[in-house]
Amino acid sequence: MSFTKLILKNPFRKKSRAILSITGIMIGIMVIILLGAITSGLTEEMGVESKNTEFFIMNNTVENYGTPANMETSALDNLSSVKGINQTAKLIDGSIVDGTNMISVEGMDADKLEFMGVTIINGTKYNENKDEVIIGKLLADNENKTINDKLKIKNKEYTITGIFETGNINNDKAAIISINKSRDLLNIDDDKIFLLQVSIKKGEDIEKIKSEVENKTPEEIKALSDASELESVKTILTMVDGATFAISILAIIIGGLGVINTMLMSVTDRTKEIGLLKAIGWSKKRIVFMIVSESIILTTTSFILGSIFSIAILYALEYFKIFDASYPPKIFIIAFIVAFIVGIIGGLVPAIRASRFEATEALRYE
Amino acid sequence: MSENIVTIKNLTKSYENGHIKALNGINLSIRKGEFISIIGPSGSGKSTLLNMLGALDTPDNGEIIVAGEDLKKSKKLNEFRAKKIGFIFQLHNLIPNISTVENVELPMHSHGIKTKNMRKKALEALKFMGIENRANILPTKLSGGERQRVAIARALINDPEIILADEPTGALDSVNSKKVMDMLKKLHKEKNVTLIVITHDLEIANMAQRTINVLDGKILE
Repeated sequence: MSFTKLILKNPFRKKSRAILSITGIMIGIMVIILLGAITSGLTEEMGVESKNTEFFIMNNTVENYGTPANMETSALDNLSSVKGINQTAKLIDGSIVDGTNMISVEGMDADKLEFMGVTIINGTKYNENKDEVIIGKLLADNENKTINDKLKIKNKEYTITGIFETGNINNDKAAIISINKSRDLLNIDDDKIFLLQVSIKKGEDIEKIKSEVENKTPEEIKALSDASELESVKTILTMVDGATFAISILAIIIGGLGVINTMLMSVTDRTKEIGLLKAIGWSKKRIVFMIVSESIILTTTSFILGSIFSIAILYALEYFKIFDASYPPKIFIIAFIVAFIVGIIGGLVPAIRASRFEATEALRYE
Repeated sequence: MSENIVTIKNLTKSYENGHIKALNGINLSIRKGEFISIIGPSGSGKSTLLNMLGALDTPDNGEIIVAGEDLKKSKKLNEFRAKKIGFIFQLHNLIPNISTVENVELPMHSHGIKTKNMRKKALEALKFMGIENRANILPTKLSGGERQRVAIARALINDPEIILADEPTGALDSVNSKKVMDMLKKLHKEKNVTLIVITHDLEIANMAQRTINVLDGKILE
């Protein structure tokens, strides 16, 4: 029998004790995974990651608000020298009043639609050289339009090639066409846009890049992000993170004490056996290694079961549409590290105690 | 005349700050391959002497050299026990949740032997003890005599130079006691191992080539 097999067998000698111990640690592991998954789900839901990696550049003067485009593209000529920018997309944003109807028209490059958060749920993108348009789902429902229908804007008919969703009620009432077509519709000069959406490369400091952008553009040009929304989301998530951390620490302490107790009882039960192992030449190091490994087996089993149950619960939450969880590997790695550390700490105290047994005393133990 | 495997000079050991003198100036020589029995009343010091021989306990004073190892000075007592000594206890001390053959394999773990070779050697030892058919069952399913034979197989697995048996038949009935002693005699004869047995049973003591009588921590001449 290999040493590994012996280590795998030992923790399960007293099954009820092992089950209790595993259950205790498993609950702690589940708390870590579930709270981690919920926090991560919230982060994704609220778009914190994208909010933290995206900003927009616009002419931040009073005159610009309410106009479809008032920023000259030449003002952005120096932007190419700003390091850390990943992607940019131009936006023109206006409204057309046709009698009693008002329609929001946005101009975007067709290849930037996804980047701008536009998801086509039916049909395709527009061809920028043709009179084609995509319309928001709410607009399609209101106007009873679908793909291949015609949409009349300012006496001109556009073919609807797709229906989109953005998750924003106002945007989903809009029509999107190419930048050039929107300039024609809204009577905008060729060198003007409303804003430039910017995403930064992973790991870059958004505030530093925003500051650099402002330094390299005229004074009225500002790099902005929706700070108030981001901050409130961040505050909520910081609180959830804090709670997760506190509960995780509690889980570690309770789980750790549980493992120490289980392993101490196990070592006491096996006093005579440990005396025998010493008598047949096992070193202190080997005995410590065996007991710590047994403890790690218990906590690793807890981790595996805790992960399975957590995933099952999260699936159930998603199935019943209660919550959209997220499963980043990070939370499982953290849970495993916690389980491993609890295993080492929980096993070390009893292991050191066992290694100090005098063989002659241990062999006489009743 | 064969060489000494045990040389003990003026060995003393006391407990509780010297109030209890377990060994009080022991002098003893044992030749290689000898079968020795140690007798004496309870508390006479015979188990302490056996523990000293097996490096399970350390002396206060005196000299003890076993199988070429100075046990008072040696820093490698684990290795010494693993390689040179085989222990048999009154209670077999088998681990209950692993099979008979796995129990026999235990002393080989500190030798870095491959699992396959460990199994082969353990089965041979069980065969030598006549219980190879009990190899894969748990010790709890064995009779008292069988358990003690497994313990003997475990003691001889590393081909030790000395086997130390502390009342090996103490917990057995007369039939099983005879079987176990027959096995120990076979082991002594066929493997030429030095056998040192503590016993209260004079019949068993008389099976040995020499009997040492211990009283009040001293060997009676």
